This record gives sequence, C-alpha cells and structure tokens, in this order.
Amino acid sequence: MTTDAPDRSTPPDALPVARVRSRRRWTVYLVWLVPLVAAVVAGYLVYSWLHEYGPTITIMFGDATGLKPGQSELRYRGVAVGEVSAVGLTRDLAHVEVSVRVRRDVAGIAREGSVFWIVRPEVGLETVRGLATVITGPYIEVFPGSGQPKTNFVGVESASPALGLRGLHVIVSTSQLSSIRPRAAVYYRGIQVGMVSGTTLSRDSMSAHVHLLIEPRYTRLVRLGSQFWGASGVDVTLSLFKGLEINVDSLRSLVAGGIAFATPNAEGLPAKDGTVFLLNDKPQKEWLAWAPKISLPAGE
Amino acid sequence: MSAVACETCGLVQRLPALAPGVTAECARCGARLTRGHQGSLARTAAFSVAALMFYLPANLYPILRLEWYGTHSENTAWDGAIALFRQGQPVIGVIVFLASIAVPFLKLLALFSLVATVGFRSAAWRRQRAWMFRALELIGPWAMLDVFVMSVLVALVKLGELATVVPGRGLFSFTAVAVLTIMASASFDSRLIWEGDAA
Repeated sequence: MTTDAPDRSTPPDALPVARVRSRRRWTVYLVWLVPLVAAVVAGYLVYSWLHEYGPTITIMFGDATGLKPGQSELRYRGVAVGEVSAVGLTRDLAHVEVSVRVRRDVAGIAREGSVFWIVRPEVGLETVRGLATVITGPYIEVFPGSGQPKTNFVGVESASPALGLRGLHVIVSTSQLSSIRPRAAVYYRGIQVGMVSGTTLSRDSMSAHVHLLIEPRYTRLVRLGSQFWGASGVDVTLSLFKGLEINVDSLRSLVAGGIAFATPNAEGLPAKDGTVFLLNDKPQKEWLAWAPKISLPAGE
Repeated sequence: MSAVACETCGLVQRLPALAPGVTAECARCGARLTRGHQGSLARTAAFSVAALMFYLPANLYPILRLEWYGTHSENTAWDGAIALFRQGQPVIGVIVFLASIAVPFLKLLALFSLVATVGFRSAAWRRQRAWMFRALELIGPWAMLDVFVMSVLVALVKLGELATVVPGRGLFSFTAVAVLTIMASASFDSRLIWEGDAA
C-alpha cells in the first residue's frame, strides 16, 4: 500500500529498501504461452464443432410420430450417424419433412438410391421387432445407395426385408396369394434357404407375384426345372384306409406361411435373377422324391 | 522511489523504480511486493485473452448431457436459460443467463478495459475504474456457478441405465473461462490504476 502523498515522493531514509529481483527478460513473455495454448485448444474445439456435422438432408415421410429434433437419431446398422434437426410439414401439408444432420465422416450415406425408413415397434405374427423403440422412441434407419450424393429424399414406409442382402431374386407367380407374407421362409428339404422379400400384383394384374431372395450359398439349388409350392398351413387328408391324416409343415410356416421347392434330378440350367416360376398348391409325390446331387460352396 | 507496505508481514519499505521483467520482494519476509507495471499488465492481458478464446466454445458446446432411458438430450447454457424461462421459472432462467453468459462476458469486458486504460496510462475515471475492479472481484465466483451445479448434478444423478447426467463437452471450456478470468483479475495490480496520480 502506498502511504500518503507527501511521504511517497520522498520516503524517509529510515525505511528499508525492498529487494529487487530481476528475472531473465524472456520469462516475462512466458505468460503469453497461456493464450497461445488457449488459442490452439479453443480453435480446435470450434473447428470440430463446425465440422462435426456435414450436410443437412431432408427426408419426406407420411408420418413422423415420435421423431424429436435434437434427440432422434439416424442410424445405419445400429450406429448413430446423424441426428434429426427439424421436423415440419411441407407447404401443401401432405407430407412431413424431416431434416437430418449427418455426421461429416459418414456423409457418404446420403446418395442417390439411399433408402430411409422410420423404425418403430412392430409386433407381427412371426416376429417382434424394434422393441427398443418403445422406450427410446423411433429412429430413422438408412441403407446407403451407390449413386451421386444428394440431399433430398423420400422415405419409405418400411424397408424391404431383402434390403442390403445379396442373393438370387426369383419370382413365383400364383393366381391367389394365401398366407404368404414378406419375411416368410423359403425351404429346401425343410432347411431355410431364403425368404420372401415382397409380394406384388403382376403388371397385368392377372396374378400375384411373390418375390423370393435365395441366400447366395444356396442359389445353385434353384434350377429352371425347380417346382415351388406353398408350405403354409395344415394339410388335412381324410382317406378310407389311413383315416385322418394331418400334415403340418412347421409351426412357423403354419403361422406365417412359407414356400418350399424341389429340384429335379435332371437339374437343368441354373435360374437367373428375375426368373418366374409357378406356385403350386401342394407338392406332387415325385417332387418329394427328387434328390439331385448339387454341391454347395464351402463355408457357412 | 515510493513506499509500500508488505501485504504479508506489514513492513513499510521503499520501492525503487522497477524495470520491465523485474519483481520486488519484501526486505523482511521475502514475499513478492509487485511485479511492476509491465509484469502485472502482461499477465492480466494474457489470461484475459486466453479466457476470451474459450468463451466461444463454452457457449457453442452443451455443458450438460442427460441420458435417460436410452435417449439423450444435450443442452448448452443458452438452451438451459431459455428452457427455464419458458417453463415458468423466469427468475432462475435470468440467474442462469447472468451467471453463465452475461457475467463471464462482463468480466472479460472489464478486464480488457482495465488493461487498456492502464496500458495507456490514462488518468481518467480512476475512481470508477477502481470501483469496477472491486466489482470484478465480487462477481468472480458467480461465473463458476455452472461448474458447481454440474459437479453436483453429475454426482447425484447416477441411476445406472435409467438416467445419467454426463458433463458436456462445453464444460471444459466453461471451467477454463472461469478459472482464467479469476487468474486474470488476481494478477491485476489495482495500484496500477493510481500510477502517476499526484493527488
């Protein structure tokens, strides 16, 4: 503390003199390292804030129940790759426009052909899926396409079960679709070798088309001469000598329906993608006896 | 040559004029009397600039992340103040805004103006600047409010999978702003305001 003004200008000589310690000149500037380090750290923080999220994409949905800005995630294979930033209606009020900020390092998932759908809890006869979303709320799942990057998408109601899976796509045609639904199994000798990826009406509306996806490992089993039949339900036969005969394929196919096929001993050419087969109501005895020797690729 | 009293042992002693980079120590107990004009000003300025650097990320990043039933919600200080205000807690909202955003900003403003006026050896508004410095010391702890609240929250809300509060990425910057402004105001030698005052 300074004393009163008259003393300060001429302090009494009796007072001791403070020791003076001179430091090296450069140590005075050492303190400027603090803002320098701060600038680097803060600059990095701001930079990573600016670069955390890449492009904002918009996806149109029919219904966005449960999607919350800043909370709902965009996921790919279960990994969060973005965040819903805004949910609003389109100008004509016919659709919901969901804005999603995609993380910069995975911005490549938003491109021509990418498929977006909202995952909600789904309880069906055959499966229960998306149960976690009962608690967490729905999220948007994406399956990336392979075209040019783009920012405006139209979301789908639900993803085709075959999305992202490789294999042989064949079609079986029937006049009347029974209990076969997407995700129903395709059996060969009772082993599941594929699944129903979708059901559509044929272009001329003369028949119903069931789209099958055969797993890559089993594609050799499907030949041009293969016969398909519905493995759904119960087969009840009342005969004079055998009495009542009830034939249930499997509990799962009983509930959800399924398709089985057999390939003749004279196998014929392998089926190509998009080959159309006829769906029979029930197998003929001789089909069940067919046992062609077809070697499968090694591995699971 | 002027006379000072040691803040530690009270000995009144003569203080020679100090060259830049030179500090004075008490003749009796050895405590530091002053860093001199340049030293004190440089430290205050350096810490203030460093605090300013962190001010932006402190307000950009969320300071709190609440994970609840698998969903999460991240809030910046600004979000928190707005949310409190809207949810019928205007008083608390204003306090949060003041403590988190306004006070650090005002502190920085005060520090920079003090450094600038002393640097230019301005003789104007000396009493007001001294008052400003006292106010700066007074409101200093309030800037740490968020850090205190967060440390309490993080410790309290640990409900395992159900709900957890995690410090947000902004908390580091927030603490840095608070600590650096406190260091800046602590290194400011208020006697510098009166330097060269004849009265």
